Amino acid sequence: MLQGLKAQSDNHGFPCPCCNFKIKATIEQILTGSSIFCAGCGLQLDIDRQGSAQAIDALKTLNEAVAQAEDQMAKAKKPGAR
Amino acid sequence: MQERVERMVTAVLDEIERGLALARVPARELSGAQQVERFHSSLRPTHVVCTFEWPIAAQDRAEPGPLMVVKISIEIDASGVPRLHGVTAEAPHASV
Amino acid sequence: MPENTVSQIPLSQLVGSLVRDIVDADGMAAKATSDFIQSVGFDEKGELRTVQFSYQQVVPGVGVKRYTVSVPLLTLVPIPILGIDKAEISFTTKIVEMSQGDSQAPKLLARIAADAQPKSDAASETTNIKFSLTMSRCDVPAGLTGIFGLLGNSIQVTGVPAGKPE
Repeated sequence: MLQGLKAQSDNHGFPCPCCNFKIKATIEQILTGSSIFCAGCGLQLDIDRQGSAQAIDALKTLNEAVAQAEDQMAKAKKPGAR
Repeated sequence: MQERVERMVTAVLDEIERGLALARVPARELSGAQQVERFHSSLRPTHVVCTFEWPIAAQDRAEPGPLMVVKISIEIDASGVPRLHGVTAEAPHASV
Repeated sequence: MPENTVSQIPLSQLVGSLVRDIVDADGMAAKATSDFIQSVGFDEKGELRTVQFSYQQVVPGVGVKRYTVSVPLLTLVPIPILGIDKAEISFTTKIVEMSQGDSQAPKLLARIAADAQPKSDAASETTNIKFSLTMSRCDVPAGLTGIFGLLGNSIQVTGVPAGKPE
């Protein structure tokens, strides 16, 4: 009956400041401070960890919450789980 | 017989309209809440199909007679008003 | 055994309560999305959380120049948009009473029937009505459209001030 419970994976990303191609970064890339590259023009973007400290903290909290939820889901899917 | 079916169709339409009016109030504020003009949610009822069987023969017939299946198709507009889209009556197991 | 008259309610209440429950459930899902946007995307002061990136670009006649771009965090993470796109409610009611009266439409008193098939009883003038009610999402929630517009307008590119190491 319930349809459409969905995580919209296509609604994120930001336009490349050089070529406007949509750049998508993963949570892991931001947390580890990896450089990200525009798939359109190859522009390299480096994360300013100091200037992004608040956002990185929020991402860490989100990442932990997602990991916990996935853990609980995995436990619930195990045979014999209530 | 046709008049009785028409009465039932009218009654069903009226009940649906009044039921949808009950739902058309701000969420969780049912007690004493006023109905609003439109549904607050973008999720709203759009179609209802009702199916029921009705005796083909007169109602005072002692033995259960053949039945016809009445299908009412209703469309609902954004303000929650049901519009009769179609009524079909079929007698699948009887020669009428 | 006497019939349970408590379960006999006006058909309108039955229809209304089912629709209302679906709308309520949709509202709860929307609240979860709203909570996510609030807690991830905004800080305690209600300001957008942003991620700062720096990049270098060759500017003709100037040479290599360093820029920073400030991107709202919410554009970097997938927003879980929870909600009901379509709901189909099917149920069968037994009409136990149809009021008489010429001035207005007859009122129907009903109760949920265990039998999923429409069934009529000519002798007792009762009938089972099988309902199939469809609910659909008819437009994109306006709040979300607003959020996406806000995020798009919040991306800022600035040149690094002169004297800062490149």
